[in-house]
Amino acid sequence: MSRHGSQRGAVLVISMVMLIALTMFVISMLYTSNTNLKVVGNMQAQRQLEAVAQKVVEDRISSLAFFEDAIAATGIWPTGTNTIVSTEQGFTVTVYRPVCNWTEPEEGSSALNPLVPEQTVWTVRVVATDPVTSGSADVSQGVRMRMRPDHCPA
Amino acid sequence: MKRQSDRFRRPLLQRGITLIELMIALTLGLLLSMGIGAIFVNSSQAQREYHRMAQQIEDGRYAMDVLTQDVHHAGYYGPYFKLPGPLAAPDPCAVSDASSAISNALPFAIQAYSAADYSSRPDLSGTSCGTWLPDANLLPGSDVVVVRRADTRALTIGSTPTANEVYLQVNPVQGQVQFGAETPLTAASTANGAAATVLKRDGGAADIHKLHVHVYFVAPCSVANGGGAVCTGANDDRGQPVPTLKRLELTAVGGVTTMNTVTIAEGVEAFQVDYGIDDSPAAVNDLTGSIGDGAPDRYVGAPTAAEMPNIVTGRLHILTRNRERSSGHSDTKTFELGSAGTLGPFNDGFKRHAYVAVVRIINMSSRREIPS
Repeated sequence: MSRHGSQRGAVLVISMVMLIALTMFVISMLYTSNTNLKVVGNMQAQRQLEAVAQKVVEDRISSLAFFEDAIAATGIWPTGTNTIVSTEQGFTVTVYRPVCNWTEPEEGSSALNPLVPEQTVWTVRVVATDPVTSGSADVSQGVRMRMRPDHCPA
Repeated sequence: MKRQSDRFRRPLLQRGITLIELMIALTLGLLLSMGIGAIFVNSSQAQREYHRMAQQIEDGRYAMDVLTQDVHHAGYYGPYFKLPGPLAAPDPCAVSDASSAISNALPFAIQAYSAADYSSRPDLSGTSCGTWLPDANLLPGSDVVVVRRADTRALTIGSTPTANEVYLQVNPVQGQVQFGAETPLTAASTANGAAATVLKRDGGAADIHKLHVHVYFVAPCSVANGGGAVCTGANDDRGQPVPTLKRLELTAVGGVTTMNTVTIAEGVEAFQVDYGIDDSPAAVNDLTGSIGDGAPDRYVGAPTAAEMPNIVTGRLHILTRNRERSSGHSDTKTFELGSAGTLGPFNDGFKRHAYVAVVRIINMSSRREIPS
């Protein structure tokens, strides 16, 4: 009877050990795939943020009013307003006031002309932040525009 | 006492087993343990295989991520856009700006050395790369791609440049290559502590960015036998050489400007790039000051020196493989790596994946966009 009893125990113990070993394999595989999933998820979130930031940049530089308002300090850019925060596809998007970095008289124009158009170079900066992952993408785009003189605020 | 006597008596009651019974029990037990053993071996193999696969996918993903980010930023030199007119193809491994070797290379945001086929190496003769890229360090069949750009962060005033690291001081119309000196930056200085001549609009010194020159290549090994930067042969990587994507970086090591070999991702077996060339319309546009319209007109695998400054997109192909062989596997697939044609079947025990990504080189292409 005692021999019978210990044999039953051995079966139980061996099967438990085997089960634990197999479970370990499965757990390790789950862990690996979970880590991979997180890595890929992060990359996807990052790319999405970059795309949103780039889209907002393209939207903004397509509108002359965006720059005209900054020059005249009216409309969307009154004096003192340096950022516009909005929500785009669930992300928080901060648009910075465009900065005029450079201006020079248009090549090929006569300097004697009182209204020489100028080539101005602007920087438009947009930061997109994901409130869930708190990742962010910071995109600065340079824009060159032909402007009337004195249209590049310092 | 009574209990003890019971115990003594009970074993006597147990009957023995016959030989037949024992043999049946043994056979059944053997069958069962064989089954369990097979399950164990199977799942442990499956787990190892899964691990290899996950590692390979991660290698490929990471290589692609690094490449796309870098190629995407190629041609970014801070606000500097009035690049000098391109001259002959520059030396990608120039470590001094003697005869403007680095300054004149800036229009070549992407420079390509293409392998003619899957069994030959790209031709690097005429460059000074041989020191770091001898034939032993180049796996035949993969392209060498040079990416030039500035770091996206400008140095802050008060920070100290690294000695002999290469910097770029830039305003929209001027770019100056400078070698760092360990003097803290002021609002009027260059990276080597001199008085700045490249100025901002307000008269202060222009921003200084680190200049990156990255030369991507595929080496036949990850860690060379003996720990050097150049692969030595079959004894690398403890006797099992793993082809690896690496790059040379223009940097300063111990105060000396040099090209430093950096490992990017193991298991990358082939790297092929097709380049989107934008040269139509061929007349220089008055508004953009350059030819083209920002969109690629055709893709070529081996661009000429004249075509390289017109590269606006890149189609990147990489082929990765497991670091170890999978037992019982034979790779019978063929892989399509763009205009270089198909590769394979390899008929070996390595499992492989091909990746492709199209990257817009935003700085080179948007400068050419004709405003409507």
